[in-house]
Amino acid sequence: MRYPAWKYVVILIVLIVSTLYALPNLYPDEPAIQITGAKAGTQIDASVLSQAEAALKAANISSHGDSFDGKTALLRVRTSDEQLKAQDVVRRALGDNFVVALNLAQTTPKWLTSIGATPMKLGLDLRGGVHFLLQVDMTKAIGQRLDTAASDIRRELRADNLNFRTVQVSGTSINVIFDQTADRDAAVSTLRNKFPDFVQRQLATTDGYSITMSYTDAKMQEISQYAVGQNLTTLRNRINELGVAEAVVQTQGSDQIAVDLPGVQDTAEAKRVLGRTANLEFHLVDDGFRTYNGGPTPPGTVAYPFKTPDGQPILLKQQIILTGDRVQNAQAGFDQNGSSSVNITLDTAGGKLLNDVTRNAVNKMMAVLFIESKQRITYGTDPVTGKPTETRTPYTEKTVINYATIQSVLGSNFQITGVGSPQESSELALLLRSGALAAPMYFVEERTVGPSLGQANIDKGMLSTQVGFGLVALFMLVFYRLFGFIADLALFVNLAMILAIMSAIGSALSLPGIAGIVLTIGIAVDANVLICERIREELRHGAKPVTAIVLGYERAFGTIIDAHVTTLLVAIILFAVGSGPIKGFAVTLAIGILCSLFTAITVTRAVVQLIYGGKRRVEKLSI
Amino acid sequence: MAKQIMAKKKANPTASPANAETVTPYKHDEYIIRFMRFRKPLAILSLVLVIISLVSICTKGLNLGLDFTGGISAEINYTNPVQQTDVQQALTKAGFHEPVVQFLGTQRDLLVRMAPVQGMTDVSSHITQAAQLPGNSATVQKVDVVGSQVGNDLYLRSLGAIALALALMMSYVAIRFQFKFSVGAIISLLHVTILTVGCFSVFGWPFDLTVLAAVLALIGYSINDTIVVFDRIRENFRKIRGADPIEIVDISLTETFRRTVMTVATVVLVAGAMLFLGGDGLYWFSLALLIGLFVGTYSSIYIATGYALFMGLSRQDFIVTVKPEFEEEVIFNDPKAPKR
Repeated sequence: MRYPAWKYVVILIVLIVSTLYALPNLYPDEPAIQITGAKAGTQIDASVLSQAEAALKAANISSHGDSFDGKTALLRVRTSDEQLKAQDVVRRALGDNFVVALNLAQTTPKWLTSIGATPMKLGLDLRGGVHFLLQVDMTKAIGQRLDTAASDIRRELRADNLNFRTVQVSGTSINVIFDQTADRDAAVSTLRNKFPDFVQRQLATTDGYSITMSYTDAKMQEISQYAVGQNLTTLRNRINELGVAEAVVQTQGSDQIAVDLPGVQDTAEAKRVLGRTANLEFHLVDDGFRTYNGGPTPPGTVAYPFKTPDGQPILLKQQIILTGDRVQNAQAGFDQNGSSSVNITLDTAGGKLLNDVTRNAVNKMMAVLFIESKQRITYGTDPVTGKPTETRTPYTEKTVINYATIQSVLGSNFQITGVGSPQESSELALLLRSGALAAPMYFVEERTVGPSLGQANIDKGMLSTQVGFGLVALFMLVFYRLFGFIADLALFVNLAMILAIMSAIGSALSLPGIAGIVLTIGIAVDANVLICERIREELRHGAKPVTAIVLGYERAFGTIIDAHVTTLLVAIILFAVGSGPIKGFAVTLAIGILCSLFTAITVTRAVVQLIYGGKRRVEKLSI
Repeated sequence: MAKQIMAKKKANPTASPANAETVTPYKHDEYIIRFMRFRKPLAILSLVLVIISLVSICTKGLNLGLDFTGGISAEINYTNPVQQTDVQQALTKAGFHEPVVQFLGTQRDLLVRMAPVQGMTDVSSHITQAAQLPGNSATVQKVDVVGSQVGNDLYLRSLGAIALALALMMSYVAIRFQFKFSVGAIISLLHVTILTVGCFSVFGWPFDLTVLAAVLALIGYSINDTIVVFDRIRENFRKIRGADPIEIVDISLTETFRRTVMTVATVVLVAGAMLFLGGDGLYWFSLALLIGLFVGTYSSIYIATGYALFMGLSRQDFIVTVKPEFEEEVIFNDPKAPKR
C-alpha cells in the first residue's frame, strides 16, 4: 500500500488555503453608516467625517472606528437600531451632496483581508438587503417623444415648402402655429399622412392659426409600455454591472419598478449607479456661442451650463442629433494625448443620423448634453401632528459635459475626449453602456430589509447544519468506527472548503444555499459509505486488510464518479433555471459535490495511509 | 507460469470463454432476500399510486407558491412593534393564503407577500381590515398585485428543467449500460418524480421553487442507487452460473441492500434535521426530499430492476464481445494444452 508524497502536499495546501479563506466567517460584520459623494468625483475628507461625528454626538449616538479613504467614510455603530437613527441624523447634517447609506462593516483582521479573505455574503433572506421602488416619469417619457416629433414636423414642413410660424411642445401635445388659414389648411394633409400617431385639432387663437397634435391613446399606451420595459432592461444591466447576482427587478403596477438587491450592503454604490437616471443628447453648438454670455437665447437655440450647474452657459442648437438610447457600447479609455476619453459605438440608425448631421458640420462644434434626474429632499415639520416630514421634489439637471470640434464626418464609432478623471470617464461609460433610460425615474422608496428575519433564518439554518452534521458524524462513527471517523474528518474539511470557496467567489449565501450545504453533508459522506462497504466486502471475500483497502478505494471509485456526475448535472440544470433561491441552492450543492470528490476520496485515503501504511502487518481494520 | 494457469481456467468448459473473471458457483446457502417475489403486487401498487398522483395533479392541480403565480405584496405599518407570526395569523384568518411576512427596516414596517385571492377586487382595504391587531392599528402603505407573467415563465422553465434532468439521466445510464436499463432507470425516476409531486398535489402542500429544487436534486440523487444496483447485476450476470435472472437480481439486490440503506440513511438524517429545525423556509423542501428519498429507494429496488426483468433481461445482455488479444492468448497457450 503506497501513497505518493505529492498528494500529501496538495492536501496540506488545500487545507491551509481553505482554512484561511473560511476563517473570516468567524468575524461577524457590525452595523455602520457609509458616506459617499453624490457624484463620482466628490472627495470625502476629515471635515466631512467630523461634521458627521458632531451630528451623531448631538443625537447621543456613539460611533467607533470611524475612517475615510477619500471616496468613502465609514462610521461604525453598536446596534441596528442606532444605525437607522444615525443614517437619518447624518443625512440631515450633510445634505444633498452626500449619499448616506446603511452598510455592514467588516471586522475581519487586516492580515486576512490583505490576502483577499472576506466573509461570505448573505442573501436578502439571511441578512436583508436593499429594496428600491422607482417611479417612471411618464410625462417626461412622452415629452421626450414629442421633442423628437417636433423637430421631425419642422423638417417635413420645410421639405414640403409649407409656411409655418413655429412648432411648440406644450404639455402632452404639439402646437404648430401658422400665420394664415391657407398655410394651415395646406399643412393638414401632410401632417396627417406623415404623422399617423397623432390626433389633430385645428384652432384659431389670438396668436395665429394652429394645429394641436396629440398622441392617440394606443400610441400613448405603447410609449408607456416601452418606457417601463426599456427602463427595466436598463436597470437589469446596471445591476449586472454592479455585480449583483440574485437581484430581483420587476414592474409594480403600470409605472413603477421594484428592485431587490440581496447581499448588497454597499447601498450607496447601488443607489448611485441605479439612481443616476442619466441620458445623453448630442447637439450642435450654435455658431454664436463665443459671444453668448447669458440672457435670452436666439430662436432655435438653447443654453446649458458647462460641467457644473453654475458653469459657463453654452449656446446649443435646439435640434437633437441623437439621444443616448442609440448608444450600443461605451468604453472608458485614453486618447492619443493620454487624457481620459470615452469610446462610443452607436447603433446603425444612430450612426446614420450622426453621419447626416456631421457631413455638413465638419469643423463646427458638437456638444454632449448630460441630463440627470435628481430630487431635492427638504425636511420640515408637519403643522398638524408636529412630526418631521420629508418632501422630495424631482428636478432635472442638464449640463454640457463636453463640446469639441468635429474633426471629420462621424459614423457609428467615435470618441469623446476630455471627460475628466479616469474615474469619471469610466462612470460615464458605465452609464452609457447600460443603456439610456427611455424615461426618467425617481426613487419613491428605498428601504433596507431588516436583518431580524434574516437572523432567525441564519440561526435555524446553522442549527440544522450542526445537527445534521452531528447525526451523520455519529452514524458514520457507529457503523464504520475508525473509517467512519476518518470520513467525518473529511466531511469537516469539505465544509471548510465550501465556506472558503463561497467566500472567495463572493457568491451570496441564501437559505436554500444552506439547504444545499446540509444536503451536501448527507450526499458527500455517501462516497465514504460506498468505500467502506466495498472494503468490508473485500474482507469478507478473504482479501488481506491492506489489499482490501486498496481494492475498496479502487472499485468504489466508478460508482462514486457516477453519483457525482448525476448530482452535478442536476445542479447545473438548477442553476440554469436561474431564479434567485434555486441558484443559491445549485451553487452550494455543486461546490459541495465537487469538493467532496477531493475530500471523500483523496483526503480519507491519505489519513488511512497515515494510520495503516506505516505498519508492517495489518491484522484487522477498524471498519 | 501465470499465463498458463490463466489459460487453464479459461479453457474450463463450464466457463464461458468470454469470462475473464473468477467463476463463483451459485451457492444456495447464502442468505438472499427474495425481493423479486413481491415485484408483481408492488408493481400494481405503484401503478395505482402513480395513477392517483397523475389524476390529482391533472384535476386538483398543485398549490403553487408565489414564485410561480405572482401575487399580492403589501407594506404595512404598525403603530407598535409586532411579531411576524401575529400578522401572519391575522391575515390567514381573513382568508389570505400563505402570507409571507418580512420586516422592512424596523419592527413596525412589514412587507407581506400573498397569493392572489380570486374575485377580490379591492385588495387594499381587505388587507387593511385583516391586518389590524388588538391594541395595535395598522396602516397599509402600499399594495401591489404582481403580474403573473413572471410566474408563468418560471413555471414553464421549471417543467423544462425537470424534463431536461430526466433526459440527461436517461442518456447517462444509456451510456453506462444498455438501453433496457436506461428505460428502467427513467421509469424509476418518473415514478419518484410523479409520486413526490403527487403527494404535494393530494395533500395540497405548497409547491414552491424550493420544492422544485428538491425534486430535481432527487432525480440526480436517486439515480445513484439505481446505478449501484445495475452495476452489481451486470457483474453478477457475468460471474454467477446456474441461476436464473430473477435469482441473480435478488442476489445483487441483497448484496447492495446494505449500501443502499446506508447511503440513503445519511441523507435522511440531514433532511430530517432540516425538516424539524430548519424553520418554515426549509420545511417543504425537506419534506419533499424525505418523501422522494423513500420512494426513490423503493423505486431503484423494484421499479428499475422490475422493468428490466419484465423486458426479458437475460445473460445474453451482458456477454462482452470477445477481445482480440484474448484469442491470441488462447492460441499462444494452445500447444501446452494437452499437458493438462
